[in-house]
Amino acid sequence: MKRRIRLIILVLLICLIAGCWDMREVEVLGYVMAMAIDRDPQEQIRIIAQVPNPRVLGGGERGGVTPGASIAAKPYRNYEGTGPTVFDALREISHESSRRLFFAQNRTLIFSEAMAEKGINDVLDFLKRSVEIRRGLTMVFVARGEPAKILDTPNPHDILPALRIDDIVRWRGQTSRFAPVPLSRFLEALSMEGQEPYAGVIEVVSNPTAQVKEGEKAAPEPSSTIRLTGAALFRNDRMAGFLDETETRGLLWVLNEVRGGQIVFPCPGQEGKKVTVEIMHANAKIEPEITEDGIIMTVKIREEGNLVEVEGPLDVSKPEVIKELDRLHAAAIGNEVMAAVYKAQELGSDAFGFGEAFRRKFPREWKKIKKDWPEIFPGIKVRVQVAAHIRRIGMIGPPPLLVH
Amino acid sequence: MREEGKISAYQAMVYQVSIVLATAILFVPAITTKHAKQDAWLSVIIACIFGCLQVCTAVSLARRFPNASVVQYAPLILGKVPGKVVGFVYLFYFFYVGYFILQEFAALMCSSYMLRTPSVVFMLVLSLLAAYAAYGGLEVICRTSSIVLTVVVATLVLTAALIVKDIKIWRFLPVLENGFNPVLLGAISPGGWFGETAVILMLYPFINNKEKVVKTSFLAILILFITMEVVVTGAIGLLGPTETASFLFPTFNMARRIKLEALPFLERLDAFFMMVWVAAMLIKLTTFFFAGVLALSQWLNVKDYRPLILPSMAIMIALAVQAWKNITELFAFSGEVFPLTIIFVNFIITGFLLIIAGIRNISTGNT
Repeated sequence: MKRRIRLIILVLLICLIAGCWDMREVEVLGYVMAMAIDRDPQEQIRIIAQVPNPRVLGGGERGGVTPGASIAAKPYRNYEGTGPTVFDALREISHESSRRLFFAQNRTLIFSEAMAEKGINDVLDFLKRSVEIRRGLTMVFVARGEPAKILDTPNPHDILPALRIDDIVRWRGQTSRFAPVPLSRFLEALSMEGQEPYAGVIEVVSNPTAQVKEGEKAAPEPSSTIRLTGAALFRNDRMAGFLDETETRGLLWVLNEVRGGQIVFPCPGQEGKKVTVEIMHANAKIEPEITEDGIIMTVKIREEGNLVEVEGPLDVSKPEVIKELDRLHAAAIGNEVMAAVYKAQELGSDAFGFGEAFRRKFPREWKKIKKDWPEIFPGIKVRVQVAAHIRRIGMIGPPPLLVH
Repeated sequence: MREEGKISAYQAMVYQVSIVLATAILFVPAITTKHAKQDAWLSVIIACIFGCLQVCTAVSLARRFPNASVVQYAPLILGKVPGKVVGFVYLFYFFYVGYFILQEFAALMCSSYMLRTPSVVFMLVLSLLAAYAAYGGLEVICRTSSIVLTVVVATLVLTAALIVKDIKIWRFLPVLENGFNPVLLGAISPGGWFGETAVILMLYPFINNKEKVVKTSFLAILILFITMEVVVTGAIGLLGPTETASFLFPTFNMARRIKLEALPFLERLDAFFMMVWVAAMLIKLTTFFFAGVLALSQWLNVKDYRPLILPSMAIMIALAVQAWKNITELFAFSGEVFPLTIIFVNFIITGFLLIIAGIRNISTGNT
């Protein structure tokens, strides 16, 4: 009897703990892989959500053919929804989508340039409050140009634009000249008193390798391609302006986000020749000081790199030459940082977190000046001290010409 | 009384840790950080000291009456009627925290995992399991919680190990930005949680090596201190103080944030974390519920507590359903009212009993 009662209880429990109310089968979900937010001329929120087509994606290289059609089906569909709020706009899409949109896999969030300039405050709450959005995995970008075009830029491999963006982000350490930022970090910077957020920039550029050939069977090279470039600086929730690619790395040096990349600087004693160093490790800290002339920020950067390319006959097998190169590439790094600082001061956006560094070191003084920080920041003096070291020089000593 | 056999002091320690852990790791980071900002880790240290004080009070009281629980000896100390009233406060406290836990559990499940499932379903499932565990008795509960606790602590350690590379020391600076008061304010809530270890007042008669209880109680506080410190510093170091305070469940956001570029399969561990946490929550509810039912049976002078299980469970669920209308009420309550009420029971009343017992020199033991 007792056993039977237990059994009945167990069976009843199964009914309860299966979570029937929230059952969501994989095949009825539309996994949003990239999302763009824009405002339409009527000031409504306009969302573009990219959903992959698993039937095409899963079919392998040649499987993606729509039955009865002569051209291959696109492996994705970009839905557009408009509405007064983000949530409303997203639900608008359900009128067109046969799948329930699901956002936990989303890794790319793109704001249109116009939207970013006007301020994104209205949509941030949703992004933070939402249960499904993974703030640590979603990268924030500002689009130069029409976001719909970015999300519909074809490519023969990595056919899903969303995944292509994600993969480009993965290799950002190849140059460290574009600045994708996780939504979590973006929101944190926004919430901090002495730091302004930044975001990556994404654009579509034409592809010069695209050549139209007569009689070729294979599809031509795509005429345009997605490119991640530079950074967008914000002042509060409004975009203040763009950094170019050199300036962006200047910003990333200070933020400790440089993971690699190339530094090109003039070859000593050789007019017009260049030396290239690949960054291996880098690390920076900001040291604020209060002096009679006002606030001085010292950015201390330590960098280690490998020599990868020498133009001109420079005997890099001599230690004193390496020393000279160390000095020159330190100067090159310093120039990048200063370029970023000047641009940021011009735009009035403290994306470096100088204010935050000041707050940490001088909390009492910070309380007095934090209201005026936006006015103080453009005027502060910034010094850069770089200790750069070349550790390895590749497979040969002096360049080939010098051996003769 | 036909009680639950005997447990060892270490099992009592597991009980003491389990009764605090599950909700503490979930709610302490947000509540403490709201006041203390980046100094929340200091608040936890202060709370720990306060917790030591509370567990000291409770153990000293328990040692005076080695063969009875607080509900049984309160009338001896205060006289029949006031003693019964105090006994009722204790037993109500266990149910009160019990239904608070049910609501918290439902709040998390309904706001971040299963949005359409009615909250009463979660309460029902968890309570039925807790009732089943309570039927098993004290020894069963202690052994189950030993297993669950091991898994929970291991998971926390694993989580900490996976996020440690993303923890930034500068998020903890400047230290004491707004002076010491916010730190103290932030310590109240975790201090209350530490005080829940005073459940030793109910367990003491069943412990067979009573001489170790002082040691194991402090050990329980230490384990709790370390786990709370791990989640607080983890959340602040990873999310930053303002972000930690703005999330309702920062610990889950922390678990969600695990990201290893080299090992992508270790991402999204929050489902695993969730699973472990639900188990911990079940144990937490069971410990409170069992203590409550046991106290009720002793208060009513009933020989066996088992017939009381289902009725009290029903009452507890009913109380939980009517108590808080929405999550904002629940959170305002858990931040502002709840810690004070449990400190009132665990520290003020227990301390009061200890003082009266000391003055009247009442004791039934030989210590």
